[in-house]
Amino acid sequence: MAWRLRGLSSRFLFLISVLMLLAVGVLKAETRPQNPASISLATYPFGDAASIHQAFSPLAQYLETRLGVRVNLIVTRDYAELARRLDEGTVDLAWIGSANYVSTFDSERSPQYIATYRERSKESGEVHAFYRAVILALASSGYSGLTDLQGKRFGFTDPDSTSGHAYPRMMLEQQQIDPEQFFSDTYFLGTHRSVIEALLAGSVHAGAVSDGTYYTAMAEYPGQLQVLAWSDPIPLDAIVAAFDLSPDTVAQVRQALLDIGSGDHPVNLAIQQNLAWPAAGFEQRSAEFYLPLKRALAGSAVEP
Amino acid sequence: MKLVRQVLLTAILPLAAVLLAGVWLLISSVDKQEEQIQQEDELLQQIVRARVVTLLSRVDAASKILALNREAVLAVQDHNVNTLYELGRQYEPLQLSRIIYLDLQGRVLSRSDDRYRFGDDLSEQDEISQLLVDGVQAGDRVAGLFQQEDGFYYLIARPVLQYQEIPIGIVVSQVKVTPERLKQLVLGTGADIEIQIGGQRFSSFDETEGTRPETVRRVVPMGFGGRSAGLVVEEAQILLWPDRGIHSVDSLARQLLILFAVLLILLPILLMWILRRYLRPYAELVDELQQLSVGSVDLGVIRKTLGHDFRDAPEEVSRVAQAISGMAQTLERQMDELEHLAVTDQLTGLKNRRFLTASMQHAMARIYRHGGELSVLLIDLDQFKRINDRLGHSKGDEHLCSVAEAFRDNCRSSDIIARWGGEEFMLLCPDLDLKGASDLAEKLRKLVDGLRSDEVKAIDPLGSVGTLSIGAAQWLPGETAEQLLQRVDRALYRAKEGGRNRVEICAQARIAADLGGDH
Repeated sequence: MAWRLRGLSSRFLFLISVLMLLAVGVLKAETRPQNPASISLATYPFGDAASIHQAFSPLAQYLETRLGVRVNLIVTRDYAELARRLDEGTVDLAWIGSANYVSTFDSERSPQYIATYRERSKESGEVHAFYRAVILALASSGYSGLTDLQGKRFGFTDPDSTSGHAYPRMMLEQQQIDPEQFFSDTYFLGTHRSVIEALLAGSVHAGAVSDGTYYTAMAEYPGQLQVLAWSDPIPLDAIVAAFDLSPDTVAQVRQALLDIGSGDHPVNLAIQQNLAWPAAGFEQRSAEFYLPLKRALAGSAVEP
Repeated sequence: MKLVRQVLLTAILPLAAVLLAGVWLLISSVDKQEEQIQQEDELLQQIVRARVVTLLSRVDAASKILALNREAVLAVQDHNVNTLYELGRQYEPLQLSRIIYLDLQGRVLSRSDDRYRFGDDLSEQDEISQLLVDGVQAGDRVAGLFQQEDGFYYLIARPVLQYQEIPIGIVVSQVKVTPERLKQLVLGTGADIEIQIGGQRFSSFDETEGTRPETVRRVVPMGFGGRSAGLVVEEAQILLWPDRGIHSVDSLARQLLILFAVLLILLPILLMWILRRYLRPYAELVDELQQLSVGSVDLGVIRKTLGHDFRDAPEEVSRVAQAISGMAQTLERQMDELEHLAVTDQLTGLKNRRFLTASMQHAMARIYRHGGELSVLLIDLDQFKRINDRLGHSKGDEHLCSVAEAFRDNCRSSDIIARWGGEEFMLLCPDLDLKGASDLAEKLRKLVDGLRSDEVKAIDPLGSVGTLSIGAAQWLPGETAEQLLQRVDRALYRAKEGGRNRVEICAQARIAADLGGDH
């Protein structure tokens, strides 16, 4: 009886195991339809939701036209929700910041790279898919390099900022400078603009900002600022696809984005007008383009 | 004037009584309000004190919360200026002036009122040095008034505590002492507050706006007790301005009192003026009537005055004046008639003897003043009795009247012809000398001689019945009327004696004889 019971129990367990494996198999086999009725384009609220909608609606409409399916624009509550939904596959396409993008590299369901957003430099007119961080001081300070900043007060923008913290910290460390030891005090000032204002107010002796902020400040305060160091290129935002979006759709989206070009395309104009970004189309790089950024962020212990 | 006084008293006394009652009511109302205001003052002081306590408690509460805020602790650790600034800004609704975060060395991490100013060292500042002097401990707290670079502040400084026990920084919550802050403390109370700290005076009111401390109704000293780590409030007081409501009532009462006084002075004067103006015609009428009663004016003058001068007077006065004027006119006419009757001979219509005698006196007086001449004719109808006896009195009267008619028609208007008595007439001829008088007499004699009726002539066809015997004389200055009448009477006597129907003059040569009394 005990044997029988044991035998029955073994058969039962076997049956359960087979059913479970089948269920997993069914789940694993559940993939996105090749020709979906609609796809979603998501981003997270880095500005006010209304401006984001107005800025990206032409992009959604453009993709709708190019793909021949309905494209729904979604603005998630925050980046965490966007990341979660990319991972879940409940959004198809996403516009995400570069630091956020590189944070997905280690994920099992890391999104598929499609293209990199480009901007036109206000100063040179050149179109780049990257920008730089700069370390600034007042022109009147007499500093000629980073080493002159020893014992001085230094301002970063935000602990989570790529160009205002991660890259500058990497630049300093490349020169064997530990900010906590090297400077008398380091401060986080929140915004790039705050670093400029604090510099001008004399609250910090040097600070780190993005090159766009520097150019704007130079126009506003000509001759008052000097650059002590430039960073390596920092990739701009990435347009990615959910891990399970079909390669054909990814290819179609990529081509559509590349076709926008750097001119007065409605997609560029809408972004320029609503977000004041100097949008100039998209270009195809690769995931490797973002690796230096990943290293920089890892070095600064930044949690994007 | 008695009437005026009565009217004045009747009008003024009730008015004065009403005005005095009004003043009394006003004053009692003001007294009640002042009592009420005193009670409100007490309440107001309590309100201001409560607001001060609330403000200071708010500063303390903010510093407590900010010292333990987890986000603040992390931001102090990370020197996250932006987060600390934003945290400080969150306390703006509490109307604190600013919140400063510092590290344990006394260097500023953030100022809520100046986003880009930090990194400076405040370790030498009183409130910070008091905290740092023995090393910052978890339970440390510095509270009080301190002077800083931009003014005086009430502040509370305490350590920022990690895990609620390890000091990692300092937070200072501050309220600046400003006129605006003081205004908030007294907002809606109608009072003001004034304090003095470090020799500097702060007021919730702007003296340049015309509000002067001299106008303060009441000053209530205000105590800031308790130990303070910083400066002390040298003087504090609540200034209670004259309440607008009571002030207006006070002002109204004063104005009313002045108005009442002016009314009590002006009203009698005005009433007197109006009454005098209104009663003046009555008074004038009374004056006129009084003059009439004492006989100081003629009836004609009174009549004219009443009829003319009172034409524009009030209707009642005008009607009374017109009536009296009418009465005066009637009276004047009747008096004229009486006078006429008194000086007129009823039969002939000539003047009578009394009138002529008076006229002779006037004529003489006039010649004394102005010079001139005066002659008289004394005329007698010859044998007039025979006419009456033979023809009857009516025929006699008829002859008298025809003679009188002849005199009137042939004498000058200035001559006065009078019936002297019976069948005697006398003519008083001003500005006529003796020769003229003789000629006139002769003219009249012949005239009457010719106008006699046949009946009269028939009485004595050869005699002189009904003719005139005339004596004429010229008045001599210095001569009395009686003397003149005697002389002319003698002349008439001679005419009678000389055969009647003739004229005898009393020439100069005869004067002595006539005066001598050869009658």
